[in-house]
Amino acid sequence: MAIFLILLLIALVAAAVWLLIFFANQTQNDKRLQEAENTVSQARQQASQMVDQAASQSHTIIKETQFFTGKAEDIIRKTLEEGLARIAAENTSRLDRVASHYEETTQQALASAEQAAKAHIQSFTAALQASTKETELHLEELVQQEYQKNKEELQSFKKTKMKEIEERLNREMPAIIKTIAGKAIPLSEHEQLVKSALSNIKESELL
Amino acid sequence: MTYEGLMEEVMTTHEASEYAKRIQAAAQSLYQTDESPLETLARNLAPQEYHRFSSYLQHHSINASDPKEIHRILQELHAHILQIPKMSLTIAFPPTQAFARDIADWLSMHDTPPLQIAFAVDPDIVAGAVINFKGKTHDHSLASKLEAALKQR
Repeated sequence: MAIFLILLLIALVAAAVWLLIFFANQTQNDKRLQEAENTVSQARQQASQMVDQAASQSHTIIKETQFFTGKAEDIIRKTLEEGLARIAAENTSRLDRVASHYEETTQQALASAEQAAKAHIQSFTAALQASTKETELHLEELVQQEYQKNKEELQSFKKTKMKEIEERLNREMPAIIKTIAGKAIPLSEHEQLVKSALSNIKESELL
Repeated sequence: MTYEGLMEEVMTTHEASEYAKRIQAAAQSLYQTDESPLETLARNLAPQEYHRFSSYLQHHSINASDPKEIHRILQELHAHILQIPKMSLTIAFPPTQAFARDIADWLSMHDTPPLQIAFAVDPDIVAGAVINFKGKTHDHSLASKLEAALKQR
């Protein structure tokens, strides 16, 4: 009877520890997933801001050239915004892929941490040697390490991605402006601009 | 003697070179056939060119049946065509015939001396024109303005 009671007590203690760790893990998991989502959402917002900024910069550049009449400028501005919005959408979908990849990796990491926890409980139950507190601390440390590793990975990924987007925008902006502006200019405006060029030469008495 | 009246509709380098070839052919044919000088001109020149040429002869009281005189005028006209300064006009779109005419009209309206325009198309200039005249390049393209604006940032 006494042995039965001891075994029951051990089983109860193990179950309690397992539940404690399970719920602690669950809360940690939720927290980590939430943080991951926040980081990706921040990155998405940042990328979108960058593109908006690029659109506005492009428009200012076009305006600064003082090359166009108001109507043509409006057409070019609209086309520029559309072109850059396409880049924004491209980057957002890339970030979404990053987010889902991260969620998957986090889920896998959590599953492996849970596996580790289970293994420790089994060892605890079997050996009855390690103290509950010690095991809890060890598990917490394991989970924390995994969490930190994932967090660092995501932060570095976000940093790299943002840099990539910024570099790409800076690198491609002149070409984007040129392509978009060239296509957006109506033929009549093109023809008028040629005459303006001839007019400039004529005024400078070079012709 | 001025030949401007015989140069109408000759605005591009291609048109000038084709016109010069027809003038040269007419000049060479003058003594090779039994036809009259006017018949030779009619055979070698385009109808409008022939019409302008015969009006020109009438206007300057030149004997149209004198092959020697016609030959001299043709040779001078040929030399005149070849010495017309060339202007290269690089634009961002393919020019239509109407646009080329429009540019020629614009130039003559603005008292520009006769020019042979060599159109070139380069979409990379985005808009405006890059003009090459008398060995100098004048870049009035949007591309160069954009590059300058981007460099200032």
